[in-house]
Amino acid sequence: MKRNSLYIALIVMLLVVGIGLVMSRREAKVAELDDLSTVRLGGAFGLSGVCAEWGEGEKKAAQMAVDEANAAGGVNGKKIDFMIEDTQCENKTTVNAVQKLVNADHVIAIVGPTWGDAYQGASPVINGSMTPAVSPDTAMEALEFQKQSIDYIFSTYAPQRKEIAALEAYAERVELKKVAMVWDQDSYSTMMTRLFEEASPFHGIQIGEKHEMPTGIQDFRTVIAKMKTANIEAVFISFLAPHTKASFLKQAKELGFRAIILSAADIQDESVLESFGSAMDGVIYTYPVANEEQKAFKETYRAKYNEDPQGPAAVNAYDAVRIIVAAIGSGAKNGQEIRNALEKVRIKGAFIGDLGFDEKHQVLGGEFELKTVRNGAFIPFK
Amino acid sequence: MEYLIHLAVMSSIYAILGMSLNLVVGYAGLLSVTHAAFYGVGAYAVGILTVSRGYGFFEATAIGMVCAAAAAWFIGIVSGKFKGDYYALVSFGFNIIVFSIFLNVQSVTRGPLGIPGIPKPELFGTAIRTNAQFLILSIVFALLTYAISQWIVKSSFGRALKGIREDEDALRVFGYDTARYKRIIFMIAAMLAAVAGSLFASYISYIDPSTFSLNESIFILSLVILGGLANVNGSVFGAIVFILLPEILRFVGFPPDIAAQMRQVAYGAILVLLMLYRPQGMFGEYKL
Repeated sequence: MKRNSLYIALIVMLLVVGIGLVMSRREAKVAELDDLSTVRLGGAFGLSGVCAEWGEGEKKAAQMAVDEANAAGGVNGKKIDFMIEDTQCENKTTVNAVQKLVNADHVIAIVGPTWGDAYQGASPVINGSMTPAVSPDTAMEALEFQKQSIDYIFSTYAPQRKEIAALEAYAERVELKKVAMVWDQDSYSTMMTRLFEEASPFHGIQIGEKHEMPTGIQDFRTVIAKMKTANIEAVFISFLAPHTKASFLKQAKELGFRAIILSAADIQDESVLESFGSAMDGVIYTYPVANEEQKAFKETYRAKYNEDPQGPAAVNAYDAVRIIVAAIGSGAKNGQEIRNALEKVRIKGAFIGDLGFDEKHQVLGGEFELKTVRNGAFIPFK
Repeated sequence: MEYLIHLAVMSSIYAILGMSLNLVVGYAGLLSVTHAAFYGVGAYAVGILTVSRGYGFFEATAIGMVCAAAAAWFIGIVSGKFKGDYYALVSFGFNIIVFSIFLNVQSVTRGPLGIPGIPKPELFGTAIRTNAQFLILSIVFALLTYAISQWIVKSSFGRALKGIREDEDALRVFGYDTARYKRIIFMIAAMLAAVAGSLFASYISYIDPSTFSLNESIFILSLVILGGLANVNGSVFGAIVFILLPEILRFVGFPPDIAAQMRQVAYGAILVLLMLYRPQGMFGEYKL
């Protein structure tokens, strides 16, 4: 058995080296729409692991957009074949999922991958294979911070700088001077707080306290008590999971912490609201100005799945599919042409009314309004 | 084919990790749960030195190996005072410390943001650009690790390690400095893990602390146990199974709504069954 296994291992290694040598002389195969009977669209979502809370809703919303497109006759007369892979919210497994979609399934474009940190290992695969990927929840600022190439990468997620600017403009208007920041140690939250800190001097804001918490922590009582004694006027919070934000808000209420709590759009999560209800009351956050398309999206989603859209980026996934379909519909036949079309195409989006991409491949336009939670409902903040 | 090549690269990286950990756990009988820390040291050495300091891949790998060996020497001195379950707990603690360093020494490691844009290796002025070329490099390193591991386990040093595993006190009676033996094998394993880390960093081109958490150490230990303790071939087998099995399950037609969850359940169930029928692992010569 021992000797046999040694021989097998050697044969496998030699075989792999041989295949490698042959393959290194070949050009990678690029998917062309004319060669395919269906439009193969990939979906790389975090369906298990820490970001599954986001991924499940994104998958369903994307599937809904695909079903709608197919019901309307597909794109350019071809049905869309939607191939979904789980990224498990990790760098390594995201690379595996994208490798499979690109090199085994030969998809023409990808919805996803999701999350900035898990995304970054896959970005060289996406750019190298010239497969456009429209992520529903990647902050393009994260890639910009990292000086990563954005060539084939797009995002329908909210422009974070704009969100932060809207929040800080509010803080300036109501003369909040001493603001604290609490965030967890993941790349998204780190980026958000850096953006907040970067912009604060322009709005006359002084960052009073900074609390970086281990990712996944749910107990903020010590930090809240400390901020309470420091007479902090407002706190900007940024956590990986929406329910962590809700935990923070709940504990702040329990401890009688009266400072204003500021957050970004990802807190508007119907499923978290359902679990935490009025505990979330009072938080002030930014969100793109609601439009009719978004209302229609929510109603269709509820009718189809008998539940509210799960996670903060379900609507962005819906838009990601629709804008890819529009780009292909404009006559683009391969990854490169779809990429070029994505830079020009404009659709009526559900997240942002006039949806298109700027030169940084981030959603164009979009006005942000201030919102809050009152009596267990997300409402505009007056 | 590119996808298969990618999986082969990942398998060879994990084979290096498995073979090196097997030297510690399988041959020396030290239940170490800190291997991801050394893996991370190698990855961060390549990430930091190639991106910020302009070092080449091979120089950075060598420095990473030295750093990992130094860390292992220090950890070995402290953990050498413990045995069995206590040793496992101490090694567990060291993984957490190293992980925290990756996460918190942000001026060096960039903390949670990680290090992107790690360049591919260059050999004699030619960059290794394609996955197929990288596969050859990773296989060469895996074969070197295999040869080193086989040489160690067949040497008198390897026999002494097995002796320590079976009855450390008896070996001490015969005049062996068992603590020194354990420290040396721990350092060798750490250096090999650092090589795997440097390959990973250069191949994926982006690293962040989450890749080198305690979970990763448990993953590596699991593949060693599944392949079989005290058998180098077993670790290669374990690495291939652990990398390929979840990917094979991607092709199984589970219902779309629960496919991701079903794959995880199936993956876990297969591992449980394997352990039930082969508790010593597939090629194991020793049981914990």
